[in-house]
Amino acid sequence: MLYRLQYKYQHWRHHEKASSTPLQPLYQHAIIPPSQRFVDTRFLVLDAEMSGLDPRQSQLLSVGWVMIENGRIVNASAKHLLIHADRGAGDSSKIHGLLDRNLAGATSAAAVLMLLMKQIPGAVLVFHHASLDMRFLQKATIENFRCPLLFSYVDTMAIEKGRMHLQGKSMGLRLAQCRQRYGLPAGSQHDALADAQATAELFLAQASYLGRPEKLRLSDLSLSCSH
Amino acid sequence: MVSEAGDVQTFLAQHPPFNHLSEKQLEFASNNIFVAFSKSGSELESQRSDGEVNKVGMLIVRSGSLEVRTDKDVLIDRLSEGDYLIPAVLMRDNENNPHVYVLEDCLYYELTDYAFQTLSAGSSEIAALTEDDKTRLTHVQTIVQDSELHHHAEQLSKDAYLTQKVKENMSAGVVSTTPHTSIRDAAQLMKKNRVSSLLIKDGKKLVGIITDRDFRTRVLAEGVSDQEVVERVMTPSPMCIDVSTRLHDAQLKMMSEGVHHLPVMQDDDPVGIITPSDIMRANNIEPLSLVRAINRAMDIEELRLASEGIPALVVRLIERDVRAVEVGKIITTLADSTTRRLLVLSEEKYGKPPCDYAWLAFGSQARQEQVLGSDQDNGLLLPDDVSGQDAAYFEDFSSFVNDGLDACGMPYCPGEIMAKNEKWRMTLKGWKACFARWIEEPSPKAVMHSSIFFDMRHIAGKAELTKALRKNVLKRAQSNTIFLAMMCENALLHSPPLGFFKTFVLESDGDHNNTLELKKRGTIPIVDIARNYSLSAGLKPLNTIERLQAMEKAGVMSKEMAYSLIDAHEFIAGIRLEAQGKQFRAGVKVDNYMDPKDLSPLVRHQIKDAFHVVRDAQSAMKVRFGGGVI
Repeated sequence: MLYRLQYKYQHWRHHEKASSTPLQPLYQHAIIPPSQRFVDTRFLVLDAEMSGLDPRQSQLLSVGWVMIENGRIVNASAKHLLIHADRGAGDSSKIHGLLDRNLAGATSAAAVLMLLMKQIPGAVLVFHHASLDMRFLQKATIENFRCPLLFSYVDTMAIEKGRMHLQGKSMGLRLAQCRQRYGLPAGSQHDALADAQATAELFLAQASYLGRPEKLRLSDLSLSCSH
Repeated sequence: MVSEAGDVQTFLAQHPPFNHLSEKQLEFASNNIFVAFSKSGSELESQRSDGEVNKVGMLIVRSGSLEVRTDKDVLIDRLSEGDYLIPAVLMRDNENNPHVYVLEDCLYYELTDYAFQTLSAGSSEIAALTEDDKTRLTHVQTIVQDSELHHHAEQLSKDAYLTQKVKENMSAGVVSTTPHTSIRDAAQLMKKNRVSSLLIKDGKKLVGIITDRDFRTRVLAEGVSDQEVVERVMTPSPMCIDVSTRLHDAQLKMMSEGVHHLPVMQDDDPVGIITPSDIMRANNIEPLSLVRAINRAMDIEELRLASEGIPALVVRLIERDVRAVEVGKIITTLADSTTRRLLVLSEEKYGKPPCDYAWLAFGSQARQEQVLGSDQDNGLLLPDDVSGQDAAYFEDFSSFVNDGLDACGMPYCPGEIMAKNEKWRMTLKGWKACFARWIEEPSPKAVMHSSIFFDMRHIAGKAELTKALRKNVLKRAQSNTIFLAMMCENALLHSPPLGFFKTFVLESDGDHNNTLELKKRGTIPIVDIARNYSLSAGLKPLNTIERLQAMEKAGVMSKEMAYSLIDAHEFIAGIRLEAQGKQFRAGVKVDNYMDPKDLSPLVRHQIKDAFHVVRDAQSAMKVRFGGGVI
């Protein structure tokens, strides 16, 4: 219920600003009901790389995503987009391997967001540690379109936390640690797309443990609304 | 935009048959792949809910494992990382609707049928997958046979004699009498109770046993009066066995001690008797009758005939899923019996030996880890005061035994480590000096010798001689770090084959193209590790498993590593044995080579794990002993 209320609130608050912007389709699309079945849902699994952890000082460097349909990751839907930034990649380039010269050939944040927005209507977004990625996405969207995104999402980290809680355990919640618990292979790459794919696999594994796929509904996955 | 090749394409590029595809074909395949996950215990749907559009042409396991079974639950195949199945082929080749089950949480790729067909048209490697290929079919059939055999073996092993205890198989209840009963009364008591043995008790205490055979050999043959007391002809303080002992151990005890009746004790009270026929009834395997045939052989020809039964016995043991370490012990027990019998025959032929001697076994016989066709490694230990003339007696005496062993399926040692070789017939002093040389001035050759000679076991003759030698050697080796470091270096020469992406480093010599020598690559490294640690800690056991257990107890190796090594050793030995059993049934020469292609994916996977364990243990050993060499 909180999900519906939040969705209504966000919609009420921003829909006027959204009209006549590229965000309009997001605000026109009907809310995705929590009773919708897992297998009937299109999921957009997303990961973003940033130049730091603080949205006020850092910015989006790249976004990677992959789609899940019919309970399967559609490999052909994988996208990896670099965002050209005003400042260089700085320290985080050591982690992500994104060198300044790669970024030079990248797309603008606005173009990347436009592409992303085309995918959002009708889809449920999936993040691992949603709050961080979401803060950066919303900041970039507001900077470019003066209005935040509106979408439904699930967080694999929150799902895992809930599972751990039920089992009375507390274990590492980093992506690699979560994957290990489902016997998923360790990945060698570490970029937005690889992490999005890794998150998608983790999500499938979690879903298979939450219930029979044909019975599983979005409400079982603690569906939330963007903010 | 940057590379979107991603994990899927990278994975495909590294695994057959996709590794033959061009970059473009790979990209096409990767774009037509759907990734799915199923948790262990579930069954994969044969048809996708969205029907023909996304029909699966090929399924590739990314992680975890799958199992394919028919309606009747017969295992068709097992798949692990990098293995694939083609639903259309599976349906075509198996009339009873095959089911795919998830063994371990499985992440897998579904390649659409459309893409599979397109790739088949452009790649002979992919097209070959659906051909009605004879070899592939046989492969599938072998797996089926294997699994049936395994199933069969499992059934058998449920009542397998190895898990059985003496208690369930002994003749319960004992017939006993006092030491002062007359022989005649004792015989009548046995007749009345229809038993073949009688326990003699003094009050509550068991003091002796008398058997049918004793009446023949000790009473009638010796002309002893039946009015004498039974105490005079009984076997005093007989060998006993505890009621909770495993049947198999009782059997080994009977075989090694040459007795036929073992009183079964519970808290110092005899509660039953166990005899060879009880054991045969329980397991339907007859190592004991083989031992009897060996012990009764009157010449080498009779011994050879008896030993011809050994391979068939081993095959039966394998089929009954007897653990490899037990099979090794049984084969060794038979080799020991053969050796002892040959020594008796040799004494008969060349006359009584002029002095004491000890017959020593080295290497795998010493460790009780022989397999079919193991070479003989042996030597002779003589007392220090032996005269030159007396020593000469042992030349023909030993040759006779070595020749006999060779005739009985234990070929001559290629390195001439045999008692017939004068070099390996030495006095206690001579052996001590020899070991001292190896230990104090280790050269590569000395170290190679050491790895054979340091596993030494007394087979026959005067046990005190062997004991004295072993004690001396153990003490000397334990305190010499340079020697231990050299042994460690030597052990590291044999490394387990761990290639990338489940490719084994294969032996490529002569007849053995592209085969894996499990003995050299898997067994020897573990044996070496166990020996080195045991020597360094002065531990007495010889058998590798027993050594590893002792090492763990003594705290020289972590529990985790010791048990991992025991498991790995058991596993590799089991695979070796199974392969040898197959070779024997197929009528080909039994050796230690095997083709990894003959193994199921899951077994290949496990072998890799076992090799990983060995590799880890080798690294740990290097750290521990490597410091001696500077």
